[in-house]
Amino acid sequence: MEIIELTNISKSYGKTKAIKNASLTVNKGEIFGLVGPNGAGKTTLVKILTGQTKPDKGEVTVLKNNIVKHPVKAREKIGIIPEQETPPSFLNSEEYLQFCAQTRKLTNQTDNIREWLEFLEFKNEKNKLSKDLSRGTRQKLMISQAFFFKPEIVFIDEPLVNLDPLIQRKFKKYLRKYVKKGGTVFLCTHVLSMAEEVCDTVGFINEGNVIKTENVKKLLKQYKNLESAFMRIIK
Amino acid sequence: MLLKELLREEWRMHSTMFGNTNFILFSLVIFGLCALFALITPLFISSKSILSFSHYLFFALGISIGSFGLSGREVLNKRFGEISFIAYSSKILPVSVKQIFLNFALKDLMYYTFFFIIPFCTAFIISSAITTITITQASLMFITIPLTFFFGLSLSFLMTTIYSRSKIIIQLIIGCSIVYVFLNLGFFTQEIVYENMLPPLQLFFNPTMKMLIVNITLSAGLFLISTLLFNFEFKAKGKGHKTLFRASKKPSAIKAFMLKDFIDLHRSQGGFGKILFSFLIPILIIEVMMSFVLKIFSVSGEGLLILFSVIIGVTASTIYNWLAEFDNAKKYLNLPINPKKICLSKTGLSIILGIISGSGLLIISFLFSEASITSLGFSFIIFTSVFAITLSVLVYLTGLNPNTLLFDAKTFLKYMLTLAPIIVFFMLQAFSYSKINHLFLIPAPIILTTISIALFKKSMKKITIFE
Repeated sequence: MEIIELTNISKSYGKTKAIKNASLTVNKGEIFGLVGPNGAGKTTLVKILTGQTKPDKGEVTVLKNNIVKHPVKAREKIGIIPEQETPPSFLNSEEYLQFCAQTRKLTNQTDNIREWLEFLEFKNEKNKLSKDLSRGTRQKLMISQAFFFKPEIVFIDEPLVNLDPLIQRKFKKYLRKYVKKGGTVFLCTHVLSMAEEVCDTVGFINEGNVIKTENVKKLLKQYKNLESAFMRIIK
Repeated sequence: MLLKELLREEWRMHSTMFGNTNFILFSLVIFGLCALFALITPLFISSKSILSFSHYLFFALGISIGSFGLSGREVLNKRFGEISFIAYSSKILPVSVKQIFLNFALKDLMYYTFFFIIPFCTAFIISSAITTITITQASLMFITIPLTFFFGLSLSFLMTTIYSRSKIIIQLIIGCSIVYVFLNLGFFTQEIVYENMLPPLQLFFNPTMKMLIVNITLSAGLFLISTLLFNFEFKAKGKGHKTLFRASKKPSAIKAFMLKDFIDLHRSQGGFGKILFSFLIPILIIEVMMSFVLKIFSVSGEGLLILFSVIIGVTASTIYNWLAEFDNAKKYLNLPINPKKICLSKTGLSIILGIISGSGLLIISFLFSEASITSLGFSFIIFTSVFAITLSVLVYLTGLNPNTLLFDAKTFLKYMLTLAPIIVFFMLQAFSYSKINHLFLIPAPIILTTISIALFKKSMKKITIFE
């Protein structure tokens, strides 16, 4: 079942064309990885899919919602881990998660929040202000805010850059578990080894064009690894 | 070298946002407004009173700007968010943070001189051709006004630096000063006291080389002591902060944002001291000075209270600037929140804090004004309606970015031109208060509040959901 549909999307910033007539679909229960070099348009595409940026033309449907017309409504059901944005400086970790729960109009989330503080091993830092947290812990906090309310889809922009290898492993396992239960993950990264390890399908993007989308297993039959596939397809 | 780069950086930052011409136009707008002030006020008030008042005005501005002692290193990203500036480069460049800060302060001083002080003094030079203010007096202002601003800034810098280390000491000093002034009201209504209390004003009325040296040494000394005491480094507190957010049975995004904004204001360096030093104390200084100047011209206690309620109403809107300073709507694009709700919550909290602090100021003004208790109630209505219209105009023109967009000449001009008729109307009422019927003034707050609500609704339509 198609859960994300992107049809003929274009987006320009001034004279720079960030996305050129891109189309793709993502099915429910899969981990879709968008891979591409720096400046390829990955972040812009995620921003369009999550209703943060308006495309110049084209249609975007997420969970059957027209995200351009109803961005807030669509965001109620999705989790988003942005590439750079940090949580508000003067809230502590627990407060930020409660704040997210309240802005999502959710009740009885205290147990879910505690579960995530424990799962990502930063319970001891729950009273520290966001501005005083290390980058890694901030990323744990941003992961927690995207998953604690059990959303149907989670969009992740560069998911593991600041996490230590132990937490990375734990999180990757969790992603598999999450999609098995019916969740969907759309992640964009330029770390190809990670995409190869966790994704079911990958889409290749370069200079604003979605060049190809393909099942990872199929690709690995054709190429030595995802890196070789990437080099060949992007070139 | 560092100063030059900081000046260049500040210029580029503003000109990128508003364009070179628009940014330069900002000082012309200030000049135009000052010229109006310099030309019109001598028709009603003696030149000596205007000149004294002008000095106290810049003293209050200095006090307000100098409150950066509260913010520690936060001051360096105070206005423009977490962007990489030279000010943040102490860890990657071979320059100490103290050195960067001193240059940063000097740069700010130069910008305020260029954008506010020079246009103000030039306006007085021009007005001296047709008013009672002499060209010598107007020329002398080029020395004494910057000194007054620097004195206010240094004094505030010292006070706020001490405040950030020990709140009790400053609370004691302020408390004792208020009680002392209140107990000696007779003494403080003498003109000679005001001339002698402000050293640059003393220099203005008695220009000698000795006085000039005393002034420079005094302000520079205060600034130097503050720099030595200033907390340059952000130190992450080892202790945690008790969780103030609790799970709610009726969750609401607006309530959540209001609580977050309250926590931001409370936990950011300086806490609520920011409101004290950037709003309450400067307004008190202006009020005390005005009450003195206007009493000479037989403005009634009631009239004075109306005037103060307008000043408090206009300036209370700066609380919105503080609340908008700590974050921007982009931080919440991962959540299902319409930026309109963010604006609504900031406006709501500004109203609550503005009314609490403004009412406190109004009560202090009432104690100084010798007005009747009925006038206090009436002034409260005027204060809230002026506060409402100022806040709604600010939100309409600048949305969630008041700290940057008000530097745009066009926006600033619109802001001033919209508010000027309202301020002038109430000023005229205040001057002739004893001669008019209360009923004449009653429709004004009702009209203002109605316009404020309509304007606020219109502002909400302007706020876009996309970045």
